[in-house]
Amino acid sequence: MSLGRVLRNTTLAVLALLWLVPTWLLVVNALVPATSYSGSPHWLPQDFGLFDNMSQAWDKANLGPALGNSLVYAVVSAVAAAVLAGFAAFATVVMPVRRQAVWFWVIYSGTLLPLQVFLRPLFLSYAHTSLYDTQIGLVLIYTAIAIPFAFFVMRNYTLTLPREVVEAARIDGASWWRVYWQIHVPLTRSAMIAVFVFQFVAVWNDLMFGITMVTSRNIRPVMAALADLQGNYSNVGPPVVLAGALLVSLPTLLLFFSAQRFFVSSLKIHR
Amino acid sequence: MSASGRTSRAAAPLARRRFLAGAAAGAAALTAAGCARGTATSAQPGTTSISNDNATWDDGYRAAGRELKKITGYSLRPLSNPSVTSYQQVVQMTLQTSKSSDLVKWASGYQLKRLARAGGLTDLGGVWKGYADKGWVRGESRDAFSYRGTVYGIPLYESYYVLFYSVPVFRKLGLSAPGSWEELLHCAEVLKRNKITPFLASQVGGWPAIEWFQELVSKTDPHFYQRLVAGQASYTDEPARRAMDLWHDFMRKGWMTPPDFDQARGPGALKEGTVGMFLHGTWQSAGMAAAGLEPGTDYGAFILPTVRPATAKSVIAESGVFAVPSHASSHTAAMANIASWLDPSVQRVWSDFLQDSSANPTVRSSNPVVAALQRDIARDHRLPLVRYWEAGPPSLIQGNTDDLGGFMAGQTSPATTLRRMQDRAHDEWAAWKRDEA
Amino acid sequence: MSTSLTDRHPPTAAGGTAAPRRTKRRTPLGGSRHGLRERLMAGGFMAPAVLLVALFLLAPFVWTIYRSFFGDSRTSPFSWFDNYTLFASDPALSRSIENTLLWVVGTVALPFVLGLAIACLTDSSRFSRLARLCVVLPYALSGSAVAVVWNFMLTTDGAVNQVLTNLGLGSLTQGWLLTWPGNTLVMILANAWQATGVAVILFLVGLQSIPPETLEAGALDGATGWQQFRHIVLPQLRPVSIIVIGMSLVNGLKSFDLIWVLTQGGPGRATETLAVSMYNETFLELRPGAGAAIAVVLTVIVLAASWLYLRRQLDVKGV
Repeated sequence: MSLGRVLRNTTLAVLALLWLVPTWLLVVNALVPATSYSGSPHWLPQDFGLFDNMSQAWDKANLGPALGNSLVYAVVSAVAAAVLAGFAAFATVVMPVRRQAVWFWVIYSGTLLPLQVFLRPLFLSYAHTSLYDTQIGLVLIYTAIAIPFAFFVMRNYTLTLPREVVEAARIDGASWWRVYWQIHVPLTRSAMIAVFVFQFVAVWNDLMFGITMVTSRNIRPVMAALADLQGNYSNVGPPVVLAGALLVSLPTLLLFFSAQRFFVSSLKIHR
Repeated sequence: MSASGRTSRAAAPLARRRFLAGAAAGAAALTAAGCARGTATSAQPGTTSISNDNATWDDGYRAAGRELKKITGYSLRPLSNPSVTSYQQVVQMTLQTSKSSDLVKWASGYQLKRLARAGGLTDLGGVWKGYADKGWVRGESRDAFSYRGTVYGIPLYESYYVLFYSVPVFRKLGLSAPGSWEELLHCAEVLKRNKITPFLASQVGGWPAIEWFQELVSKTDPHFYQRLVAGQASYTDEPARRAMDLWHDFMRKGWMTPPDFDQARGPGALKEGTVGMFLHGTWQSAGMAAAGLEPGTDYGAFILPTVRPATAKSVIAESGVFAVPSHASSHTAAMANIASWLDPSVQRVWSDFLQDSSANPTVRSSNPVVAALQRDIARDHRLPLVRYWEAGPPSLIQGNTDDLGGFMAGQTSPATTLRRMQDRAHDEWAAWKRDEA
Repeated sequence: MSTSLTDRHPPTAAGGTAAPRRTKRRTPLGGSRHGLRERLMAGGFMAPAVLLVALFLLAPFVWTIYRSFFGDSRTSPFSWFDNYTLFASDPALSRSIENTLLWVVGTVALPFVLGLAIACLTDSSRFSRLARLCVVLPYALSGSAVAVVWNFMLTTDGAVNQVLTNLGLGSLTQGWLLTWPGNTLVMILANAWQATGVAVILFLVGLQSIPPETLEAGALDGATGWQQFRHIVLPQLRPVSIIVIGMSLVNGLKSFDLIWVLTQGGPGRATETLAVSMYNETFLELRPGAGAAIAVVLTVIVLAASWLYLRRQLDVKGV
């Protein structure tokens, strides 16, 4: 093994270990049985109480329906955002649109605003239009929030694609719709998947809109349900909270794991 | 385009059509699922909904609701929001709309006044009078629940600020609950010598920073405390300065936990013996039980002794309230329930759940530690004082709490902190009076 | 290297060569002869996205701008720029601006450098996959888990101080979350812990689209590994770098979640950034006018920073 490779592997190992420390603490303290928690963080696993803690968290916070709700919100919003942003990126880059920069800034500026700004006005409009405490209301907000960044990524990716294929297809007489679905989408597939993964994680982990825009147990997203365990008045210890947090992070972890394999599968760079 | 490309393109539309059909079906299924509405915010006959910010009390509300149903025919349906700030926003924003719940849990004092000022709360004067006539509520506390003379809230519970301590730890060190300031200092010294942090002090979450402030000021001079929170005394006056110097002294001697010590760890810390005395409200008893501590055998509680023996005895009390929005969907049901909330049969169940004391003075707490405190307060004729959080205009309290948090972290000296608090008090009282005009 | 993008399809004998690319100005396809119908179609493609963003994001912001010109007393009188003068008078807001600048620098530099390093150091071997997983994992964890864990580590009797004491470095223990600027700096580190994962994934996507022929050509020309990196890989990563930096810039300026769960902007409002101050003023101090003014100032800063950074990139692309 060359010196370069050894150096590379060592640096990588050190970085990976450093990154692992907080995650390690998280897992170890979720393993501690709730009743034997001493009040200060544990470093080494002793007993195995993970499943007990998880089922406690599940029962106390009623995570079952919440997980289903979050799945609906995350999938629908992420897919809708990826598709709509894909359309918009295609339109502003490939199709004949005057003043493309203006449209870029109109959509991209949505990501520049702090989210808390939207809370009050959106809540008031929702309360008046009876979108408050509905699933469709939450989906609309999540999609709207996800679109600007998705658009940014899709547009940047689209800019790197060659125009010639599209030009040739248009000369052949294909409609824009056809061009989009048969030529553009296959080319931008990896960007769309990246966008889907990011927006899924963002919507899945959202707390603020989940506790403000809905209040009923049956449509609450999972982070809002989990927050019940962590409030100012909660009397469950950290092990149960951490076990619950691990439990609700499993879908995003799985998604990341499989997405990673997709991203890396075609990595051809030879070193 | 090559020849192979053309044939594959012919096959593609069919495959694409099938894919699109599948995707459309999936999307339709998801959207149909997504058309669900929340079940909780619509009116449900036979129940009244309660907005609250503490999900751990849901079972208590339901149990109390079962008792209420026997009297009024309506039970209670709690809708809890896990974040206090979000909860306050939601309640304030829904108060004027038809989306508000039937009953709203809120804080008393100026917090209630600010909510009432915006309009949208029902006058509960008749309900209060009914309770006062039966002796089910303390008549002298009426002002804490009213705004401009009209009652807008009925007390939910009544908690006192006390110091919890671990009975086995104290016994092992030969200590007992201190009855005087000297005894308190003695306890702290013994604990410190045995490597136990004497007092738990925290500013995690923001509002806990007021706990030691209100205790030390009120145990230095309770009448000064009353004048201070009413805006009639200055934060830079002598009693306040003495209280802050005491606090500063405790911190310097290492008698207090670092300010980033989360109070949620309090019961566990008492149990482990890492902290000696835990200043908190008696509603913490439920948390003690959850940590496996039995009242009397594992933990006890006492009220902070006065700094000088001659000072009048007082106790800081906290009461949440129930208020009824005027636009509540089941308004009559809500009024019926609130008129029977302090009924002893309901309060028995409620107080047992909370392991705390009820706002109805005829209902004794079932928690022996809290019951002993109730007797102590009655016997010593302790002056009840409003908790600092509710005692002044909310903007003033919020800003002063930030300053106290900075003081606890060592950012400012006692004198500077008090001066800042006084400057803010001057501005905020002027703003409040201006808004009242 | 102007041929870097057009060399995607190596010139073959049968197919034509790629049409010469105009690097200055992109002409819209079809010219203006399809006019209205073409533009309507384009409008139809853009409409859903634009509508959603305008309704849910831009309209509330316009309402916020409007609100910032009104006072916070009960009658909310029109007060011109009074809310904006708070920036001069309130020391908490000056501290807030300092913190926001620290956050911007931290969240742009750290995840970019670390993300790029990790993406490039790894390949498709098992070991690399594992290392990459360790770095990317934190991004997938929920905010509550991250908050609890970093609280564990950073409180005065938390894990970091425990380790320091056990290693004999007891003098280095301190209240990590209690004193400024230390508390802002450790929170920036905690944020980098999570955000680097995103950068790694984005750089992976970018690395994936670099044609290996360019690297082979460079190797044939005698370029070493480092030179290959600097002159071949890095320029082709520019589109992804734009995304990573643009995203980090915006996230740094808007940083809220981690700060709120670890310190609530305290103690004594010392760790607030502009987004936290906005939240504090609007929802805790109950001064929505002041909060709206802070939101407007923050947005102007973010807009200006993004425009300054992206404008150069957009120009190169010919928009």
